[in-house]
Amino acid sequence: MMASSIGNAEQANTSLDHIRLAPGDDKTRYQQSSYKTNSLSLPMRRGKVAKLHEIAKTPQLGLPALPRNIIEQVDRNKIELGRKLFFDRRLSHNKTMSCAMCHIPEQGFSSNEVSRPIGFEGRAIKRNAPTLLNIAFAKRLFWDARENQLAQQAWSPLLAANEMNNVSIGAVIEVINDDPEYRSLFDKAFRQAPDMLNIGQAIAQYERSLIAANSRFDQWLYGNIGDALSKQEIAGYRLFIGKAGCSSCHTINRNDALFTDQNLHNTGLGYSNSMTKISDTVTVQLAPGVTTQMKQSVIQSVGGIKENDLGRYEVTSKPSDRWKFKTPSLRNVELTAPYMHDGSFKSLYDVLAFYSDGGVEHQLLSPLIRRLNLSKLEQGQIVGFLKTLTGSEVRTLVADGLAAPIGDTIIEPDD
Amino acid sequence: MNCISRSIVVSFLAVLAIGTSATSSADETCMSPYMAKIVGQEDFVYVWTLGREGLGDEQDKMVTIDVNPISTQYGKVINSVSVGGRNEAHHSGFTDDRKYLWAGGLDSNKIFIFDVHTDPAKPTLHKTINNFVAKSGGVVGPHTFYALAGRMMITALSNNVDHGGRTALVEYSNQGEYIATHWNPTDQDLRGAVKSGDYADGYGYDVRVLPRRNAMFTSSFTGWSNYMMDFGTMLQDGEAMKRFGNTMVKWNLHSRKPEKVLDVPGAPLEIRCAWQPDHNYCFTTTALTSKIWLIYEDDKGEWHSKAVADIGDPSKIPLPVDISITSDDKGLWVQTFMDGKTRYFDISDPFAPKQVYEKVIGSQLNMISQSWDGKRAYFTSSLLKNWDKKGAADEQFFKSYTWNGKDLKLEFEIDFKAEKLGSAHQMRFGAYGLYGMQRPSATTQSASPSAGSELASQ
Amino acid sequence: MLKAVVVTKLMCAVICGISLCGLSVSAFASDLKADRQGVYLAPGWGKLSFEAPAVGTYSLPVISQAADGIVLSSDGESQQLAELMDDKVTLLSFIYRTCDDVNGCPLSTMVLYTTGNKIAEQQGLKGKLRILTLSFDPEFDTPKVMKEFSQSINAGKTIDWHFLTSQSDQAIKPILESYQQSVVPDATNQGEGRNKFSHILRVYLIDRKKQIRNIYSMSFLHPDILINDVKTLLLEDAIAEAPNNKK
Repeated sequence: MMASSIGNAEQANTSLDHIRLAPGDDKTRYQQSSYKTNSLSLPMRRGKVAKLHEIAKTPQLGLPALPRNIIEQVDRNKIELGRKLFFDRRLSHNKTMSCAMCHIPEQGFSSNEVSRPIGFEGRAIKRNAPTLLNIAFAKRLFWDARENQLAQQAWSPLLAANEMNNVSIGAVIEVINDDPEYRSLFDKAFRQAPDMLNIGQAIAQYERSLIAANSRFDQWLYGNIGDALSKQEIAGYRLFIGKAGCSSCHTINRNDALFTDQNLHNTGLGYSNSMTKISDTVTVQLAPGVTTQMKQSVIQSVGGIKENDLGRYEVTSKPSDRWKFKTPSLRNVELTAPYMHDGSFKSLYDVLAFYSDGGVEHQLLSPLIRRLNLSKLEQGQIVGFLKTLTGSEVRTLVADGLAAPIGDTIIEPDD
Repeated sequence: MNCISRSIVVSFLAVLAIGTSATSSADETCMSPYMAKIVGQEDFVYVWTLGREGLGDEQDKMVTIDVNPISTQYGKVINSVSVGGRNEAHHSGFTDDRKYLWAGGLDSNKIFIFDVHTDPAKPTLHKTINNFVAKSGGVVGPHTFYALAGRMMITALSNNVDHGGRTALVEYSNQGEYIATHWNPTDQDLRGAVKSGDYADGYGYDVRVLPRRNAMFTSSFTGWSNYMMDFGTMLQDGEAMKRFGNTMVKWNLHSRKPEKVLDVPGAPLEIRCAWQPDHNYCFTTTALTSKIWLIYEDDKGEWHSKAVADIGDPSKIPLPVDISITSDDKGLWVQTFMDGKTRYFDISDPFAPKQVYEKVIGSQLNMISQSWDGKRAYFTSSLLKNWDKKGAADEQFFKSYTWNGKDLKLEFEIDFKAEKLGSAHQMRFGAYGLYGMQRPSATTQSASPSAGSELASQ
Repeated sequence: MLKAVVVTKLMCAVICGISLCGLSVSAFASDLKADRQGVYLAPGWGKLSFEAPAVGTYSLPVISQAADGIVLSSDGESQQLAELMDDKVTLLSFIYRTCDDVNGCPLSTMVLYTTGNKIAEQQGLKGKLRILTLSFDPEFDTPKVMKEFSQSINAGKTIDWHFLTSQSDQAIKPILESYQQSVVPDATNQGEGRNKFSHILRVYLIDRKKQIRNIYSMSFLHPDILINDVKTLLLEDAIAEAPNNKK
């Protein structure tokens, strides 16, 4: 007797209104004693399969065209295979981690519930899980931009000791090859047995299908729908490209906008983490509306040594690259809290406050970062604008993720 | 009903009481009323032990310690069964016939079933369940293994979707076959339960039953992301600290349906129900808010939750972990992890527990198991692999004490790191007498006045 | 003499009071008897202290397939146990005839008797329940003993109740193991006209597909609960057989 699995059931119902674009375990306003739960049922977590191959090929308002060769490669069978691999927890050394355990569909294909996700046996990962929405447009991957192809990138978490911790490439291929369903899917998609190259390609094909633009902002700016944004949101946009100077890194072009310059910058946050003396006490939340001050010495008694993070320097060894991190796209940013490379800001208001204060002053601070002296109203207007960047079809992609089969070990009975 | 006739245990020679009945106390007081109980001198303590990187064979193991003073091997590790991998070994529980000990891995989701009846001195690995997540429909982190008639009720901590705290109870047959999944109530689907306060988080941790009230209770901790995370990192992660359980659920034991969600903020962990036939209440402690909570039934048959005492200074987060109730419902041992203390509360008035004794057991402390008569108490050190203290403060021990009603006296201790075993977690008792066996004469001291007098004095 | 017994008992760690069946085992039966003044009676003997969940409002998931084995009828004929589960909801209990613990075998027999009668009294339910009482003490519980037992309880045959035993200890052992019915013969059994056992009281509810759907221990062995569970299974059958539910 099998219980119905979470995630793999599909509804005939075409409405996606029931899909919540947030954690099913809602902790909004948890700081307050008046907090009330608004939790979703896991057995009711139902999705709907999307035509990802069409989404992957179809241009969306606000985004540039993908290179022709990428579009030509789009293949329905490869996407379906990549999606299965992406959600398969068996592809980790102890069968507990899949790509989707950190890039969770309803959490903006990122992790809303932790600043920095944890991997194999609870090992620390020092950076925030970035969203995979619109990852097709990223020229370089990882916060330090150390990788340049999605198909290659997929192997890093599969093999990293603090992520999925597979012992070798061959071991992953064997796990996949042992499953007859995979053998047939690889045959259908590649006419080949699984190998290092096609496994990466399949996962990359799925990830590249996660395209989410045609936001209200896109409709307003590129679709010329004047009332797509409110006055306050337009004011926020003006600040974004004007006084606040956000668009000098989070680029908006005449015909499209990636909201990233694909470059790396030092905002001072990494510097601060590495170089600033930590405070003696930390505020720790114990329950809704209940906090206490914990001494740093007590926290350290139960804390491992925190790994340092020197950003781009770890790739280039150039002193000038210390604490530089990649500019993330801001598309769908309202879905991808917490923010920054270390997930240290829980809300967009915190991010705006940080930049308004000019980041953290030090020798290597990017000249683009300066004190902005934005009023609370102005910060709020920019946050309002950022919330207009959510793609019109995000729900379709999330619903598809909810419908994806989750790979867990099934052993057939002996008899 | 779980009470048994105290009549049957009065005899000073009564070593074991088995039953659907069952009085009891202690580790023995903390077990299922459906299960065979040891009411005299236990022969063995089985310690479910976490493997540590860089120590010994690095993998989880079931360690057997001989604790019978009449034994020539008293105070020694006499057996160890390595199971492969670091599974985040946590809790274990016997089947109702006490022939098998089920031990879970909170990380790997594997369940290791040990045969403890063929030779109670040398448990063997009988079967491994490694498809718990798939069979249960996505439940992660098997935690408590609680014996019901012919079945095991397994609580869990997480799920395979977001590794958060929403989870379910999962029921297995004693043979190790999946029976059913009972999801904890959430706002979207309360499953017929009443949300009596502000919270219905769907989280899970422990389970206990009061068969005479047809009641089953579950508590709530946190999901995989948190219980696997470095403790120090988590305390500083504001998002992670929002993801702790604030509820207990009262279920209909027979129908397995949730009936009422009670607010118990701050991560209620272990549940211990009173034993006396007219004591319709259970205790829990909240790990983060450091309080003793009473879950009680009023005159009208309604169940309520009430904070009845602070444990130490809650602002310092002493972190109460394991608790143990005495068989007469008059005492509650409360362990606090951060200060390594065991604290004894007088709970004669369940609405007003008073701490009457405390003692530092080690640099860190988690589990306690007391004997049925309350005269012996065993302690272990490990909480969770990545929550345990770091450096020299990461003592890993098994310590055996006697309790005279006023003070704990150390009888012996085993250093689990020096023995190359790992981190000592949960304990369960074994005895030859459960299976109609006698201790082999080769391991019995010929003259054992102390043991004899102890038993005779019961 | 007394002291010697005490030492032996200490060493072998006496099993005391498994569902109380093995209770009076000990050489100190008289002591125990004295202590049993005001002995606790299982819920089955009295009014249930809570309301049994209503028929059909809950599910009884399949626990496992009910095991088969060769048993002897009270007429001494060999029978397949599983054949006795054909086409009826079945309650199966393991007992031994000389068990005298009030909360053990007598409890299960009384609860089964009450349950069987109440089901038989109800419109349309007569004949839909079968009760199997199987001894695990074939040495003393011969077919003849079981027949007498049957006549003393179910003389009017209002209940479809089979009193079964087996050829030998070897014959019953695999059946007990399949049902995980724990039975420990007492060390003092010397064939003095009766045996004593420590066993965990269990009654099994088995559906028409010969699947175990519930297992009752002393805490839940009460007619109100058994009746509602039996009716819940019968309702399930009725729904499955309804013409518009045929798949």
